[in-house]
Amino acid sequence: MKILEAQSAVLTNYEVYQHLTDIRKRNNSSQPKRRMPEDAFRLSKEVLEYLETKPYPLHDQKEKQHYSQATLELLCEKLAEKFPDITKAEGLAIFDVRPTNIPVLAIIVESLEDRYTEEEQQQLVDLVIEVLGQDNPEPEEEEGEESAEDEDAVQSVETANGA
Amino acid sequence: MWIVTKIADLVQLKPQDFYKTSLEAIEDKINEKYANKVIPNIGLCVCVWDITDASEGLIGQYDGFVNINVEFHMVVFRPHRGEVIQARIKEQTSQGMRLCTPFFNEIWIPSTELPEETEFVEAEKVWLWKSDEETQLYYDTHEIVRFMVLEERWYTQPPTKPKESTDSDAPTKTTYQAPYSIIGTMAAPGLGITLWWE
Repeated sequence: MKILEAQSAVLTNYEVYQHLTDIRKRNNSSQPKRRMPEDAFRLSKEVLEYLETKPYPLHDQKEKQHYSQATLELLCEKLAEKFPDITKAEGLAIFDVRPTNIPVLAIIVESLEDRYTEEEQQQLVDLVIEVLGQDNPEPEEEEGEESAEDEDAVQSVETANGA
Repeated sequence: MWIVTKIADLVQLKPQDFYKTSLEAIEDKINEKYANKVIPNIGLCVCVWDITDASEGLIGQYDGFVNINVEFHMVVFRPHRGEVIQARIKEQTSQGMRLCTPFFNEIWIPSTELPEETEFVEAEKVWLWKSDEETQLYYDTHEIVRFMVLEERWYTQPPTKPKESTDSDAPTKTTYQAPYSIIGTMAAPGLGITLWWE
């Protein structure tokens, strides 16, 4: 065994989740039915269980399908546009953790207080909620048509004001 | 917390596996060998991401296995330093807390890495955070917490010497140490029980 590249790439929770789900789907629908070797199967089951634990945003991915490659690209686009000094690693962490308030955002983004004013911090939180949604009794945002986004932006501002 | 590692290895396919397509058989063999295993300084292997290259299968002389040199990408669990991930509290002692995920149990938060105003309640074996004079927040076991990764520890178990004494009463005590463990912190605001920061 030889390690050629210790770290070729970094994967988000969503990508690993999707990969494992695809393998499972492919195995279930193949003729004859395929199954991963014991350890691999058990581990993939445990990883999926872990990624579907609240408050990870993938906990309702099966029902809502709100996370997708397009969502990730949209997040990167909006961050590059409005908050360009958020690093790639921080953007990935935001996608994985989905901070919906400032204290959680502060542990993901280094030196949040030094880099942004309170107003800008709230804008970043609102952007996260707008693109990635949040756990709400109300229906959530998917990747966006303009009107849906505006609607949700209004909704999140209302929630912020009301809370 | 997931990385992709490129590995080259020799895969041997038994004739019993010839009914599968080559790619299927190779993938299954690699998953069988690597899943849930720790590669030192690389991480905990999860499953194959993709297969980039496979040589022609050469049949070995004595055993009839088909030998294929494969290059592939492996999904590996390895949270980096400073990353914030969530886990469940497994047990608590006065030295600190052990956290676990469904697939990984070796996360340790030493007592020095808890917020300053915490103390260990001996009677209930839980940690208590007194964030201000009136608020008493308990770290309940089995609750989900967020913690930040501080360091990772790698341990390679050396082979043990054969037992020389014929005294069969003395049990051989081999202290088990995990090959890969993570030390974390929950000191900063925003970390700790996720429900507190909802």
